Amino acid sequence: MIRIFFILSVFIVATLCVEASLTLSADTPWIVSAGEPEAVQRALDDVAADWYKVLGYDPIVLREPPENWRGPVVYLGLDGPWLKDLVKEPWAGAECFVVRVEKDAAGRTALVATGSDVRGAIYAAYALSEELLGVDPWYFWTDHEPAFKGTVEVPEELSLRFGPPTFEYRGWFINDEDLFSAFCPDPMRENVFSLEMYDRIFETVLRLRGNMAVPATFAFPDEQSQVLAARRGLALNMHHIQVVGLNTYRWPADVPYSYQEYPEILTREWQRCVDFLSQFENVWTVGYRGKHDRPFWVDDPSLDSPEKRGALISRAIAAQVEMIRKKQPDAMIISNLWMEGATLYHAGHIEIPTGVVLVWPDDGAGVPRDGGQVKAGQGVYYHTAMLSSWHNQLSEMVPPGRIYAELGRFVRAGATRFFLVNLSDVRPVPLSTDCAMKFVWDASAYIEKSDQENRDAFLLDWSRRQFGAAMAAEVARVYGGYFDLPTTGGRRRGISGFIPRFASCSGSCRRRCAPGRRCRRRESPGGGARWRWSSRRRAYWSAGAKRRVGWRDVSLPTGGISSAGTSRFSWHCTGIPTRCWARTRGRSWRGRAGRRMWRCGR
Amino acid sequence: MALREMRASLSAAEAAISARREGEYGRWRDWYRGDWFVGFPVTRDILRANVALMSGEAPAPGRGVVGSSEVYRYQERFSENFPFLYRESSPGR
Repeated sequence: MIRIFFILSVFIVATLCVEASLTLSADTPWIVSAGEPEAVQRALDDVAADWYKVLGYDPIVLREPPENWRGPVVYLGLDGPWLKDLVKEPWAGAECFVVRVEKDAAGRTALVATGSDVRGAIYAAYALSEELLGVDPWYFWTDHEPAFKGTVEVPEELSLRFGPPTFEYRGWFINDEDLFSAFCPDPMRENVFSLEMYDRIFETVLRLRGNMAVPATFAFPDEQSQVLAARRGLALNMHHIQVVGLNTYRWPADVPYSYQEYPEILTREWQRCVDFLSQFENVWTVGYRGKHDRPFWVDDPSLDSPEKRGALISRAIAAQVEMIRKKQPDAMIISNLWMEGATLYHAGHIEIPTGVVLVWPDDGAGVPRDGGQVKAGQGVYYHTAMLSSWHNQLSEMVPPGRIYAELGRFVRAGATRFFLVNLSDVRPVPLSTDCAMKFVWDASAYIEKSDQENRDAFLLDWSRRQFGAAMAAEVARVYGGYFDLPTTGGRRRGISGFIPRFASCSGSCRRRCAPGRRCRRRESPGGGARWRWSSRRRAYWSAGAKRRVGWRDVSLPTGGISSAGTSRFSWHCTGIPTRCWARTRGRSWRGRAGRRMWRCGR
Repeated sequence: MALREMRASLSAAEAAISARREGEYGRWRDWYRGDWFVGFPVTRDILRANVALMSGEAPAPGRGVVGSSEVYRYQERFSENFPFLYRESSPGR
């Protein structure tokens, strides 16, 4: 009797367990409205391809569930009339979404993936793919095609809710795309590279819950890459060179380029760009720079003082803002203070109109040049790849610890309106870009933890996703060593704020210092990026420093001497005889134990 | 001494390029073909020319530095349509 009771119990429990999950098969029908926006439909096309890979057949897509069907269904999209019955609670904000199991009006078990708006619905579809089908957002770039499974079990208690995002706008800038231009050229010779590759890029932005793109270094306002980005549901942004979308790199040789001497010419061209681009969702960039990627006074030296230059830039910005407000009164407008813009702004020579979001650029290596001045309502222009004489564009260069530290500073300050990451040719930098995109989508998962803890957890998770659980710990250790490598680096006179491309400090100062050498580490009270290092006669100051000392090209001794990877003056030393100073807000500390300083060396 | 160092540099550059080829598999074959900006192939050419000169030989022909004007060499139809690529995009047309 007892035996029978036991067997029955096991059977009942087993039955309950089976019933407690929803089995997705290739034949589980999708319910998708005919009126879905194009951007949502394109995302669903991607997820249909994922479905085929994992479950073996294309999905059965219906406009509504058949009345006589009592099996499970999948509700997707934004437009369906079923939405109000399946998601009754209000959304917490823009770009929110859910992926969950519930009963529909007819009592069917339903997997629901929908969102508060177009991008919310897109993110929901991709989340279903990632969370349930196991499709990595980076699968195309890291060659991890999802495995065939045939069926997928979904717990009936599944209820995933996402958003709103931490940063309002989160986008990619495809910059210095030399690899793309030869690898996949556009057969029509119109875009720098093929629209097929662009489609992959925009798909990945959306899979990572981004919402904005700057598709090329020198894109025309009406280039098809821009149109494709818009049709996929992304907002268009313009980088610091192409204010309001004007491609000054292609400026005609026989037309003067000077807002000082010929304001009517630039006003006319800016207006034409604003008129055309107003048909899309934009995050408008305003400013005034020279042709190509240089200060305007290189081509127009008539203004010879910072005051005059700043005043001209301020006038140009005011004129552009007026044009934009007439066309798109509620559009977001930013001022990206790249290079000379940051210097003039710090000196108080540039006036930003009310309502324009000030965006702090980084130094090209993941350290924003705000000098500790970042405030709520601002944003950041970031790099995970950078082309210059002293950056390596072909492999990862920004350590995760630096990303958590620097972007964390912006989150704590409330400067979360805008995040644009420059990632050049994409494929060389998936690790750091993934780290940054996850953080800007939802910083709450990281912000209370230490940068070191976040860094270690991320490297382990990335290694597991890319190389499998068995090798994850070892691979993460190798990554950690890679990002800790001190390398030689150089810099050029006149370009400030550069933290060398090497190594983050992993908080391992003592470990890395040779025995018998002293090494101290203290948190900086002000945070920020005011620091310098010194190696005998050579010195380096950041953008935020008030004075420049020993201002000359830096050539580190072989093996490197020290590096600052994260903010708050986390240093590590390699044992080369060196002294390190830190400085914040006019105070500088040096070489004494017990003071606020680091001393690394003999 | 200098020649020996130059030859060692050339070997190192070729080893780096060779290692990089391992990343050119599957769909990514030829991925680094467009490496003009960092310029591993050009660096190798420069080293080859220097080795030849220091050995008293005629310098080998090189590929030349490729700049942004070559990378962004497409889109020439803009020249009559500026600031647009397509004439029909101009507002008012």
